[in-house]
Amino acid sequence: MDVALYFQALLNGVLLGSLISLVVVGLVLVLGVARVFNMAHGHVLVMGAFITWAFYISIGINYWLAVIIAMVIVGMGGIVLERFPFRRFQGNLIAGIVAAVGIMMLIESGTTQAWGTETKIVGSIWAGSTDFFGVVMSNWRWVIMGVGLTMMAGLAVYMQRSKMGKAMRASASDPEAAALQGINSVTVSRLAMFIGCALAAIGGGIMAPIYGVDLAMAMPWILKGILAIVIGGPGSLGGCMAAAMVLGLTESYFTTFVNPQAGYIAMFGMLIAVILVKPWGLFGRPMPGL
Amino acid sequence: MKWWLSVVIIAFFYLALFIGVACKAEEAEEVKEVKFGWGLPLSGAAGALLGIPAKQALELANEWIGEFTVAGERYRWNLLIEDNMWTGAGGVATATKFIYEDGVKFMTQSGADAAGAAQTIVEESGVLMDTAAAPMEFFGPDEPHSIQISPTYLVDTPVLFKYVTTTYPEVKTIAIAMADSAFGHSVGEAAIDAAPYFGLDVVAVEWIPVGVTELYPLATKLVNINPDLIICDVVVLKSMRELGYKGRTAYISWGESYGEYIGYEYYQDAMIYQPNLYGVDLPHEVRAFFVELEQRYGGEPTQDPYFMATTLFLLTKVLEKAGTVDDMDRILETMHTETFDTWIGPVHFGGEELIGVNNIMLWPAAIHEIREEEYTPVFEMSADEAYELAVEVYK
Amino acid sequence: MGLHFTRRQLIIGFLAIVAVVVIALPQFLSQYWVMVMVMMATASALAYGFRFLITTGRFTMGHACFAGIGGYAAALLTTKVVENFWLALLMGGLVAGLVALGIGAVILRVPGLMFAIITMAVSEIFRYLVIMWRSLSGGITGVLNIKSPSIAGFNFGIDQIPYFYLILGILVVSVLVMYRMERSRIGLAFHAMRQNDPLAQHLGINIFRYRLLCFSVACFFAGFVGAFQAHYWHYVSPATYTVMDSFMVFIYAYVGGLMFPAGPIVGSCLLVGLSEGLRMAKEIAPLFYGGILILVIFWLPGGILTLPQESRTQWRKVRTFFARVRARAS
Repeated sequence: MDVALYFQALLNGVLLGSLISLVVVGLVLVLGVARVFNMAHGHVLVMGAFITWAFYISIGINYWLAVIIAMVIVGMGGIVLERFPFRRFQGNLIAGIVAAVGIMMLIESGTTQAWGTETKIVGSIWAGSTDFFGVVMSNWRWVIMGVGLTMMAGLAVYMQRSKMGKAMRASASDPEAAALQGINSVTVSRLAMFIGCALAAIGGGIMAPIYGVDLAMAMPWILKGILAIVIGGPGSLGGCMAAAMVLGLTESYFTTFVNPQAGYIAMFGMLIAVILVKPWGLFGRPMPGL
Repeated sequence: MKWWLSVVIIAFFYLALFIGVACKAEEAEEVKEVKFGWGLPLSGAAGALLGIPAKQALELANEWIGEFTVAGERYRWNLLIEDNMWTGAGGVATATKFIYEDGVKFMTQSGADAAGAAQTIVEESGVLMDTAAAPMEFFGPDEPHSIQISPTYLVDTPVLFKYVTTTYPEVKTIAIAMADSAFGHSVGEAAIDAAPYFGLDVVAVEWIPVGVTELYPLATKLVNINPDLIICDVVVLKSMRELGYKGRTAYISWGESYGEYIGYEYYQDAMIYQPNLYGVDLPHEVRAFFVELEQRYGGEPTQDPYFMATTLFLLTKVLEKAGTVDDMDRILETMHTETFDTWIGPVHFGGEELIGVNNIMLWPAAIHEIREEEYTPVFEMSADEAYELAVEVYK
Repeated sequence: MGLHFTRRQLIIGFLAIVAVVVIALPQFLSQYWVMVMVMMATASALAYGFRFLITTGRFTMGHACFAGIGGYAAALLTTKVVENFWLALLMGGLVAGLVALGIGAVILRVPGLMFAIITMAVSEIFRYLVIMWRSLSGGITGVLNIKSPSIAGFNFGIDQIPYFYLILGILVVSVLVMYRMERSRIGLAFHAMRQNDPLAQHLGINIFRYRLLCFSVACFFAGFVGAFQAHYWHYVSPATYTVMDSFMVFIYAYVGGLMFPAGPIVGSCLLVGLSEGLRMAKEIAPLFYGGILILVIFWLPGGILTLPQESRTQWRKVRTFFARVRARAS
């Protein structure tokens, strides 16, 4: 069999996986710490892409600077969201979802008003590709993978080592005990929202050169994020990152060796299998108050 | 904030709504206008590339037409342009609005999904519906009101294959990678059905699910299969070229932004097999129109504006010859039997041998190749020759 | 004053007036507005089913999907087997209900949020299955050319009014059945479950079975709606029944008020009317819409129908305030 083909599919899978990671990580963090399921996460990602585009193309700033600006703006937006709809509806799933849908609509109409409905194109930032032993990857995709994986690693380290990271983890596993320890739940929630939304924004900004900027991207990404969070389990950051990778690899291998439809069947098949055996996800623990 | 504020705000919304409705009622004054409903994609990728330029072209075309005379009376077109989002739901929504709210007798739905969904309503209400990019199953004696003025894949694909097999005889295998939509299937199935006549082997048929943006996995598969010719759009091809594909490619439409997107070094010798707004062989009047369009709106001249503008001009001619703006039977009869003078030359409708009724307009066919960033004509056939070839191929 | 009606008589009288208005109205409106009324009725029927499930403490994010299942079942029956609308309607409901039974048996065991997310996943799975199984379902184009229904020899054609009465009938039947269930002993079990799962279990209520029943019934009626829509639009396609549409069902019910049986109906009519009216200002319509949503969840989190209660509470506050002012002044 063609080894290069296998490795190519592997690389493609890692690419897909890192993209899904960027989305699901924010979702898990927000769910665990701020106790809200942010249905609008896909739209947050698209906002990141839009703002990157706006600063880079319309205003003409350096691309990387634009991405960082987008990350900051969207992160701050996340904090505002936490303050307004989400904190009020902590634990109240229904209202939280309605709020998220409201936010989605506001984002949709806001971006349409500001920038119109056509797909925006962010030109290639670093064109060309590298090829070794028959396995090819475009340079920009290497960048995406690099950024994605670095962010994952960085977040993992942060959550394990830093004071705030530990505070967030404590708050996620037992909010009352954490409060008794003196951890301010508001601060921790805000931080989680900021990080979660910032990561999604980076994802959107990084994706823009290859996939363009279009509101239509929002729903597919949140749905992929949902697949990952259900398979990985809502309480477990590492579990969801792993689930994202597995999903990416599955889609890649099935698409390349069978056809795109098979890729989707496989991903959903995995979902069903996991639900049947472990309804809380592979690595999840039943979460209090859900 | 007090609770009553929400009541005030809700009341305000409803007030705004009533004012909006009242204003709309005022606008609906008619002065000998013929209403023409257009369902175009105005959002998303299709909107940027096709729908919005088409809308601009229609407005300019309407200006060029100005008033026209039918049976001694002077008329103007009243163009009602709505976003059909290139989907079935959008098609039904816009068609329903056009027929029930606006009372149109003429409609165009761009996009096979939209047109297909709207078809039942249209046929039942006797409104004429022109479509673009529809598969041939849409047309037939049972659907007398469904026509296609834009070029059809059924007629243009055999021309492509004829050119390929005579000029590049080493091409033996072909592959198709199109979107999994009615549009994608129209293009793809026309090719799949035509291939055997020319001795071409279809080695891969991939329908790309809607919403898939990362094409590397699929491109990996296709590059591995390595067909001699692939019919796909520039987005798919870009991934394939990056992964090392060296074969030939063909597609139905072209725009300079495509070349910029994929990089001309990846798109050398690509074949384009439907009419587009480029090339030295473009009729003079067409070129003048699009120069003016570009000056006004700065947009890129792609296929949709070309076909939609032609549709408007042609229908004007049909009405003039038929001598009526609402006798649908007479209009259809005129359409089926007469020849019309348009900016691409004299044209007439055909299709009886292929679909049972003369509801598709026959365009002169030409193949162009992208050479050194230029859209270069390399082959052509007259409308009737192309049609005869198609009849031979698909029978 | 001599006249004194009981509360029950007032409600029945009110409903009677509403019924007369609703039945007579289409005769006076343009075709377009009758179409809007059809949309309102359709949305109401779906939203009511959604709310029905809420009475057991679960919410589904895939309700539109079950309408889709019903729609496809009906469409396939009409185009491939036999053109009988009532049969198609029944098939739509049955297939949707049975699928709900099967799926529910598996997924109703998980707690609220996971259940909701999983219904979303189910919705997507259904969509992809339909797209991929092209030979059966017509793929992404869907099933086209579904003929108008003809009931007792009367062919529906393109006039909107008969369709309105049809969906009205479906709505009334759905609401009646589900309302009766809610008011019965079964409904008591639902309410118990909603308030306190473990307690209800300890009282001997088999919460799983009751939830499954509720879910199946709600989806059965969703299937009815889907079958209707298939014949109304004359086509079904995977794009019509997406997660976003399920969200809309959710929102209609929520805005009206989840705790009131009339809530979903009020919410649907309000929001559908709003979005149609706002089509004039198409671009800012989502802004208005999103704005209303945020308004409702902040100031009327119980839904619009809590307005009388809220106003009374606020009014009492205002009166108390003034009373205090007067007391201090004197």
